[in-house]
Amino acid sequence: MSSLHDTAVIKIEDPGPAQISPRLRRGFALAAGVGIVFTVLGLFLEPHRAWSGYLVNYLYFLILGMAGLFLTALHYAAGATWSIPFRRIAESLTRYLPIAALSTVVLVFGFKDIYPWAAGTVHFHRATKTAWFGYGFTAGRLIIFSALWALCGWIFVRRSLNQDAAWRRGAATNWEPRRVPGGFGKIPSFNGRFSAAFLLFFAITFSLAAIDWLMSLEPNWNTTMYAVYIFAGLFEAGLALVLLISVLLRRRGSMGQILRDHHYVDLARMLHAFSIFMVYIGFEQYLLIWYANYPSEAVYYHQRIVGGWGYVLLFLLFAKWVIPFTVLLNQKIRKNEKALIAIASLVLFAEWVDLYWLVMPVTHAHFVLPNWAVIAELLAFLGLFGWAVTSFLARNSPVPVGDPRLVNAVAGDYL
Amino acid sequence: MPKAKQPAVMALFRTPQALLDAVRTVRERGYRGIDALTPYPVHGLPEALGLKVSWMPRITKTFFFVGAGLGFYFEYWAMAVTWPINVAGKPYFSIPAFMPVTFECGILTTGILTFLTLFAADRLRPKPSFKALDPRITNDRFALLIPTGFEGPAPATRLLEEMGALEVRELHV
Repeated sequence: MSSLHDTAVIKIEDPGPAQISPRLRRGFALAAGVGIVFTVLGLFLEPHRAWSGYLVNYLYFLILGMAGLFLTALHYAAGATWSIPFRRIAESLTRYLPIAALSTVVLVFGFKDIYPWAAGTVHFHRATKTAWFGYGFTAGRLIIFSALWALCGWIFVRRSLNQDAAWRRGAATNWEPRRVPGGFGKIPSFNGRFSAAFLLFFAITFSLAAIDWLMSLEPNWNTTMYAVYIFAGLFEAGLALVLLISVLLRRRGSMGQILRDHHYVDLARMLHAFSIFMVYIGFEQYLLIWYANYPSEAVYYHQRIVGGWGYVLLFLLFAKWVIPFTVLLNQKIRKNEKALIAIASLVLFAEWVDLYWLVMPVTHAHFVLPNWAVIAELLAFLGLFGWAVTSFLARNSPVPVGDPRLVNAVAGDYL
Repeated sequence: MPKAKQPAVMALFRTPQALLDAVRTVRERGYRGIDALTPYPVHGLPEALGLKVSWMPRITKTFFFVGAGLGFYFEYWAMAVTWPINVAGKPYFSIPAFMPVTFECGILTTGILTFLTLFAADRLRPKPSFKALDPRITNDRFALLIPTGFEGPAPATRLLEEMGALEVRELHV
């Protein structure tokens, strides 16, 4: 039995492209095709409801794609070893970002049906706010942001694939930090420096975009926690999706001998931690608004609690925190693939419900189930997202075999 | 109550890998009650030693629920039963407002009681000085202890020297 810690006995073998059945990819493509047809029908027949649904589904999959980009950047910036086996899966999610950028362009056509500031039904007291929410300026910055995110994702993925190619040729792939000659510090690799810059850029642009996408649904209401709340959802759902894909791939034998139980334990622990982060941000925002009880602020929660929406909030509390927290507390369950699939799916579903709960109460005072147009949009975006991710994984190895520290990650000697 | 000291041998190893191999071999030879001392947690060592899952997490969980429950009950009793005060028109029994204090009570109780339970369970107590088995165990050496009650120290010493121990010593623990 080869023991842990011993990097000498571990041989990294290229597991090759992930075994993803062509049927699954065709299914995603079919779902996208059918979904897009009905989405277009819905946007013309029922514009009001369908555009709100478009916002929900567009944001949900954009957030998942961004989560892949964010987790990759965080991995490099922290110089992490434990997350190397998951990095390629996070990178595969960024393959959706160009499609997300295109759907941002589509979203611009629905501004008048979604946002009161675009429809001209609200007036701001400040000239700066009126200028900020000008039609062209808002559309322009959202399109530019999503295009730049897609570009950053492309840079990360390209460098990572180049590293793999170099490893296959047998070339040196040591892109580790270099020691400063005659000094104490280390110069981070290009990836480390680029990630640090990207994280700063991400923090600013994503906060602004969260305000534009969602907080401006009620343009005269505001909170400084809003972007953090959306980001907390992104982090939790992103970890859940990476966990889900890695478990499914390992069950099909696509991860070779690289992904081991202790990697699951680490990623599940991370999901556990960020389920706490999610409830912390959500509850903090709720508690402060509830306590102060200003009519101008409380209207936000009032809208989202009365008329049956309160049950959705209760569901979110359980699905995003209580259940993941209690279940993942157990070390044995963090190694149980079926339990991990169940928890990750629950968290992913809850993130969709969260966005639905953020968007829909603005136009619907009473709880409504998603209608055919919203389902069609979900199908369309799910198809596009699944097609982009599975196509990438079916062509590339689902583990970054070229990473020089992969062997340390497999051996678990960071522990 | 201090227990009577047992005769044992202690071997020092240079690497965690050597220690892990030695632990596996020694256990295969049938030695029980062995213990390992390392400068930092060695991955896979608890499994190799055959240690059972500790009961501490369950105790900790119990302490948390007791502490949080008592904190919550105290808030209810203080705010809604003995001295109801109207705060900004909120109900006397306002669960959201009680949550932060409930959480803090749970954490405080858990922290203190787990700490005390751990010390009691390990029979640790404040002492003016501890005599370390070997100071190098806190730095770069990995120690394995084998009790040698019945057969004397010779066979265990021989085995450990075969396993490549840097040094084997007889002692009483």
